[in-house]
Amino acid sequence: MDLAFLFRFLSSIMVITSVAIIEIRDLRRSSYAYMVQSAILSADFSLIAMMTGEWHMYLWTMSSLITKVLLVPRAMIWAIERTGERSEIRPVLPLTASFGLEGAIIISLFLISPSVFPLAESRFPSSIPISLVLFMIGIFGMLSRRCALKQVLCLCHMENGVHLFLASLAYRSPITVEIGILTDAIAAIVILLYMAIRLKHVAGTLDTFKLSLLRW
Amino acid sequence: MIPVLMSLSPLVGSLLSLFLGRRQREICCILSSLISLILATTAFISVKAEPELFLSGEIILDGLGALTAFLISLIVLLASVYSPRYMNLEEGKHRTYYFLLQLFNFTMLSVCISNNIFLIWVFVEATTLSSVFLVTIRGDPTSLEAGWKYVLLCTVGLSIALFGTVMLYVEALERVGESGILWTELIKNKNILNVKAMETAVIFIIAGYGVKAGLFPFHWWLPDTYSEAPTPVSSVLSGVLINCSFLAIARFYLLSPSGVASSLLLLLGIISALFGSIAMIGQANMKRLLAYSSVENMGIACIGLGAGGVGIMFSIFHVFNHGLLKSAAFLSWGGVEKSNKAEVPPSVAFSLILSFILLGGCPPSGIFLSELGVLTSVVRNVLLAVAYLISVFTSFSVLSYNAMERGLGRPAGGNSSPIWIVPLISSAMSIAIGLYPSPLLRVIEEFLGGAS
Repeated sequence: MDLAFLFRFLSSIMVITSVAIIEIRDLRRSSYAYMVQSAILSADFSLIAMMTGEWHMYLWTMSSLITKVLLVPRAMIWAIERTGERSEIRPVLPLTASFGLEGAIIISLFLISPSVFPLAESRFPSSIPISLVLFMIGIFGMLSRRCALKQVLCLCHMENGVHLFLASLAYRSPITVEIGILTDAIAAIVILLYMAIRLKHVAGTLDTFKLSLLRW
Repeated sequence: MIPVLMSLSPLVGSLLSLFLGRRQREICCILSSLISLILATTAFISVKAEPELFLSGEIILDGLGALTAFLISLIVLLASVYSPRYMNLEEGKHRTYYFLLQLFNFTMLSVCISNNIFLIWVFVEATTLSSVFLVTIRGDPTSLEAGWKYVLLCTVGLSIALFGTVMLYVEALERVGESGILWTELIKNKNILNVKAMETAVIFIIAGYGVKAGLFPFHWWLPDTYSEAPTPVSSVLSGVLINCSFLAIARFYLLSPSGVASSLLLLLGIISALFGSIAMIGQANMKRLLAYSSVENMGIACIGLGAGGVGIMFSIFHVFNHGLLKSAAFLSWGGVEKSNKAEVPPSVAFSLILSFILLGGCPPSGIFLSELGVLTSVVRNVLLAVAYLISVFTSFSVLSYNAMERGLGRPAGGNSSPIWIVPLISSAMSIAIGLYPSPLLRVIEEFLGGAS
């Protein structure tokens, strides 16, 4: 099969997994959806490596397999077990409204991204709207969900979008840069999960809308 | 190699402090920040108009970086002298605190000397990650809540900045080549880069680092974090952490200093300045009040940056002065926190009133000069100038009212802890800068001359 077609196909499946990550209420299953998305992302990285011949993209594939597919979902499940929070706290929006907004985000970003981003010379033009969709849906999820763990998952999801953008546009950047960016992303997620567990133990809730001890 | 040594000395200090006893750890913390201050001063004195590059261009020493690095190491030194007197932590937390304080210092100094646009991002993100456990060191629900908001908002903001950085890099790769990852190369070749692509990238970068600098729509983490962190940590966060993100904004803004990016900075700046100064009114918690004052002052700096011309020079000058005095204000308020609730020792009241009034922009301070300088750059736009003056005067009156009320409203007495001397150092420095601003302004002017 044509590699470029495979790349486009896998990238579009990422959009479906991203809706799944946001909409599945069971936190454990949602983390598995994230795992699937990260696996697709790693496959995308290796496709980029094959198409461009940049050997260090294989290293990136390896590191994202280890961190995003193995470590982050494991850490998520560890946090779910430590907090005893199996299912998400009821989100602000009902399911239909949430689906509608996600659809609107996806369609509008696919429509506007070619005109806003003058990066048409890129070798992987299809990944620009997809990474933007992942990013914006992550932000949408973060604003509309109340559960702290779900918000962390939305952040991981946003970072998948940023990393797809980085890999498909800046695949020639030095390896040290990529290691630095990935390390920071993972460290931020681990710190947030640790703080979510502490919050559950100290404040007794993971509902971020109830975190209103500090106002004004 | 001075810049590298300057940023590595706190890293060595932080690692060493893990293996030391309580007293030695405090001394190690003070020593390593003293060494980095000495190196930063040397770097600042030796800085030339043309930026010096080290390690195949990854490390840069220029006016803006040296100025910010000098301020960072000074404020961290004051905070590490202040901390042992201010609080008595239990052993485990004590080790974490001094380890993270120096690690935080290392990440901030590294932001100042990075020339690689991605490394700037990596280190700004690292400043968030290394400082969050300093904010939550008390471990109670409110501090955890503040820490949670801090990490979440800043990480989201910085992802936006990463988007912008990638866009910038792609554009640079096209026109400049592999070396386009270095900021110095970008600034040298900024005329051959595509204007529209640069503008889009710079807007993303301003929005992203703006979260970390505390600009208006994303400033919510600032008051929570500053009020919940221990006072010496708040002084570092408010004094120099936002300077690091301002440095990133300034560096990238200079690549495309006009058009949409400049209007965006003017808009964000004026809203932040107005909102910050109005939110200060009626704020009973002094640390939250000072946080809103940071929002206001970053707004003023962004107005200067957006207005261009002489405004850019004065906005960099303003951020420096603000860092000095904001940390002085936090540290002197810490003295009031330490004294007896009913009484205020005269020495503490003196340092409190001095730092608050200078922070408000009372004439001998550097802030007066920089606010005046920014005003001259916006004075042609009447509406902008009026809004600017409203925010400046509101902030001055709220700060001086609160200083009088807290400092003079209670009977004198009680024994003061000697920490009230610490904030006087930076207040005195700010007065000295207000009286003799020319050496500093010359460094900034030379830096801007090289960058344009």
